[in-house]
Amino acid sequence: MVRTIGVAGTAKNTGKTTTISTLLRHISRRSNIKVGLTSIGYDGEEIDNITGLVKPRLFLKAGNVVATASKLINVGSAELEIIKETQIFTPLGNVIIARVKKEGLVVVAGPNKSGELKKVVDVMIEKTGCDVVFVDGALNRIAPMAVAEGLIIATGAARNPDITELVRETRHLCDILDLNEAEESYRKLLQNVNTIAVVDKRGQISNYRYSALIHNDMVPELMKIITEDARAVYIPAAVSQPALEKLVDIIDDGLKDMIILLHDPIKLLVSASPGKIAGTIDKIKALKGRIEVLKKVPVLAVTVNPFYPRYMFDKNTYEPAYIDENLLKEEMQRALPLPVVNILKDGPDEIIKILRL
Amino acid sequence: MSKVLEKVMDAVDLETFLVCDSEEEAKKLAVQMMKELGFNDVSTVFVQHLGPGARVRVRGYIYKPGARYNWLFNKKD
Amino acid sequence: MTSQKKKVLLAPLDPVHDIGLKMIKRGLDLAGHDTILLPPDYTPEEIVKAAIDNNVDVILISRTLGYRVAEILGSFIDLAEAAGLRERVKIGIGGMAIKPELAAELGFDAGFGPGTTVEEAVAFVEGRRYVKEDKGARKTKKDLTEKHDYAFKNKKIEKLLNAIADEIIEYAKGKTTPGIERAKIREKMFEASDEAELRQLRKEYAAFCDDLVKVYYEKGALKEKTRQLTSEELNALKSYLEKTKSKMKPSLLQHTETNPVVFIQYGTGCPFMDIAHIKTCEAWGADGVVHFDPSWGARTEGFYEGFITHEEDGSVITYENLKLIKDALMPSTLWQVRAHRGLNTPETVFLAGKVGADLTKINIAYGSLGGGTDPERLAVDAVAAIKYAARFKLPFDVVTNEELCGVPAHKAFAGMLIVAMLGLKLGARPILQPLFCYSPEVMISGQMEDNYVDFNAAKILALKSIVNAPIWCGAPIGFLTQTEDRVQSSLSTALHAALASSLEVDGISIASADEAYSGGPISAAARVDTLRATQSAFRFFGHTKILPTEKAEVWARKIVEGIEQTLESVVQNGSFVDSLYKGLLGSREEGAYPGRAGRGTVKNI
Repeated sequence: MVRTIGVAGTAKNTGKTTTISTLLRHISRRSNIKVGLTSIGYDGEEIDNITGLVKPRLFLKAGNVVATASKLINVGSAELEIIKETQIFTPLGNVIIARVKKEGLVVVAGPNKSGELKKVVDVMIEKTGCDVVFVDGALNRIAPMAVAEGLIIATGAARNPDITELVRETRHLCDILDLNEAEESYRKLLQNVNTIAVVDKRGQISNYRYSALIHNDMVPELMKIITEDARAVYIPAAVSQPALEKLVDIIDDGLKDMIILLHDPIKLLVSASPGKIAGTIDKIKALKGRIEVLKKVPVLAVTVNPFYPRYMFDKNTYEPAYIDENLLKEEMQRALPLPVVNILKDGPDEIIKILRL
Repeated sequence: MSKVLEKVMDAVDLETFLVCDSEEEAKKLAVQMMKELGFNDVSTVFVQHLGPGARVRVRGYIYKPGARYNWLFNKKD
Repeated sequence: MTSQKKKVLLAPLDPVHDIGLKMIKRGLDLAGHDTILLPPDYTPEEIVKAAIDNNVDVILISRTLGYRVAEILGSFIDLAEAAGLRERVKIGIGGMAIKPELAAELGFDAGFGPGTTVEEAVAFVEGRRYVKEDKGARKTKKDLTEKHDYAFKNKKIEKLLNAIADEIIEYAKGKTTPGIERAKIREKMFEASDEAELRQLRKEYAAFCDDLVKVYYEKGALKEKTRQLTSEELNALKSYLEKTKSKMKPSLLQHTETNPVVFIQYGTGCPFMDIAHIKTCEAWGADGVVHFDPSWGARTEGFYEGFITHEEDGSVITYENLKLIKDALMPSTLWQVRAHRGLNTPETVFLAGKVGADLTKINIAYGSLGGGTDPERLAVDAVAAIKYAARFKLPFDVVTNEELCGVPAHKAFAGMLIVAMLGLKLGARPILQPLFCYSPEVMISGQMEDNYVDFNAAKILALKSIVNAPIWCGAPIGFLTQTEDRVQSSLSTALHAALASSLEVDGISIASADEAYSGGPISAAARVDTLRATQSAFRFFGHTKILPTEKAEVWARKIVEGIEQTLESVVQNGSFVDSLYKGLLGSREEGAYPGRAGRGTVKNI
């Protein structure tokens, strides 16, 4: 069973919070599951901070556990009992882990960095006995989700109202998150390496001073340690697509005996659109090279939302608008080997089944 | 009285610019506007008519001294 | 510098440099930190690389918000996280639309929105918990008299005042009035040990009262439009005050140490509305509040008892009402209960002292020439009242509102100085209160045809050339210059405040923006308007002086000469009280009429 589930949106208003709240309401009805909830941002408020449109809030049953900022403890209708006050700081106060004493809505702003998120999730599972912890995303942010054991991606018209483009992008996104895991030997060899490293055919490691490859200027210097004997280039932190593309262009044919290794696929996602990244991956494959990760972040399902806030120029406001929901779901399902759910229409059953809750 | 108006400490002032022909007309319109908005105890605080119209400030008292001020009684909704 | 030196990267994620970021850079430099300000329009990748290359401890980003900008900032944070920066580098975001909630949503460690101080950003960099400097909490009660020794620079005037004040004290000796007797009985009531004694004292008290008040002591009846507050109302007030007090973070009006203390006047008729307005004014920075009683209270012998509200201007003076208001005040708020003009002057000062007021207000000349009280009665009452003021250590101001009747400034000032000297002789600390207004005298004689500055300045210069006494401009400043338009009204008040400050006076009383509006009670919003305007004027001028024309000096000399002549005429006349009747301190032609309330009530013991 996957115990830490991240719900990530591709943009604001793609239905991330609707997905998570629907799941919570459904799972809450069953008494045998203890749910934990936290967020890498702040997403429980009624009015969207930026567009001014109303957003739903999150419901938790008594006995469930929430990790949220101290200033939000008394904001929702749920009555909370503090279990642990952490030293993890957010703009809304330190993160508090609390048990729901009386059911109701909660407002959640939890740890916003992966290291801190991991600590909090561990406490929720090991100390407070949560069977499953949902991590609510924020905006299009995905980096801290590297901690999750499985992802639900919420996308929709708010990301792009053009169905063809949206489907293509989602497909690329899922492909990237589904990059193969490297062989065990590499995983062992590199697990404690914190900088960019080149592994040669004898298994010797040469280090480069940066851990992230995020600028074209870094590539020439990196090339100095990529010798004929190089078998793998490991980048533990972020990789920007243009820099990766440049690296690939320079190594060129040399890639056929080489693997580009990343810590996790999310490190690749933070710098460019999935389409561009997919293009670079295709290039690597065309050169008979491989790009793999030490740790996968499997996508469990994709939820689609036909809603988007349409900007009204004459009124300087956003108004609710919708694209064809059936077409959106059909096209998306055709492109993905994963469950595709319109959560508002289909309900959470299919996702619950995959989660084996 | 609406729940929101109960939170007014004493009076609601409405300020605007009325397109009209005279100060007298402006006064009349301003008071009529307040009555239409549902204010009972209305008075014109300021009116100045020049050229295209009148700058007005018109006031609707919610509570006058000695009244029962609902904000004092700390009712939560 | 107390904390460790930090390396800070400041980066505008905007096409232009944010002024706020530059201000923060300056603050950080002054605090001894290393700062790197990146040029505008760097990409997120370039910013993250610069942070890695320079091994910084903190990144401060500035960005103006729009719809997609949230995603851009979210991507930046993601990149920083994926690049491994987040575990050791703190990242803050600043911009016009930034709130802590938004910073949390975007994943930043802190958000700096409008109103953020440089100190707040420095505290974030240094890892300190930022405690907003609470200027209001540091607010302490000011003593308007502390810088003044009452030394006379004008010896001629001092000599004349000595003679007149001595004569008044001599005149009042062996005389009493119903007002004085009631004050004595009221004092005994506070010392009464049982209900029977109290009943007896009430009976005695009622004997010195007018019928309107007598019926209250006999049958509990109050005058029309007046009622006792219910216990439900009093309980509601208690919880309202508890809640309000816990939320008070008062603003500070003064920008420099030379800005005067600012008073507001209240007297809506209802103690609750008064308190609501007082708390509002305190929150917006008022330093002091002045209690206005109803005009009928000044013409009626005797006070009611209990918690009383009434539906007319002026709030009824009772011990209980005053106590209610006193308990509502912030500890730093100066509180004046005025007693200057009526038949209850001694008892008002006694009650004010007993409840714990900070200031009172007494003037025989105004009270009898413009306030409707018989000169003889008020002279005798005032001596008793000033003695209470001295006993309770209540400084009292001497108003010169007879100017509003048409009495020229020099005559009003002569009357004011006489009462001030009387106060000094009786051991009290008087405060001079010249009007700072567009008075009938100048309307007729034209001293304010060109500007409102010169003649007001002349008054202050004249008083300062006579004696080193505290000056509190009244009341309210700019009186008769304000119109019903709240912008004009607030501006006029603010400019008069700036002028008063430039003249280095100790206090001012300001009006609300409703000053010229007579169609109904003053609104709380109108009070906020002038307090904000005054604060803005103090901020604008700082230590800058307003330069009057040479006429100010000329008129100041004329005022001093006029005061001397007036005082000489009073000395020649022999009796101060008689001088009031005769119009030496303001004549009928000038608009001053000796009052009749309480005439013939002075008794020899």
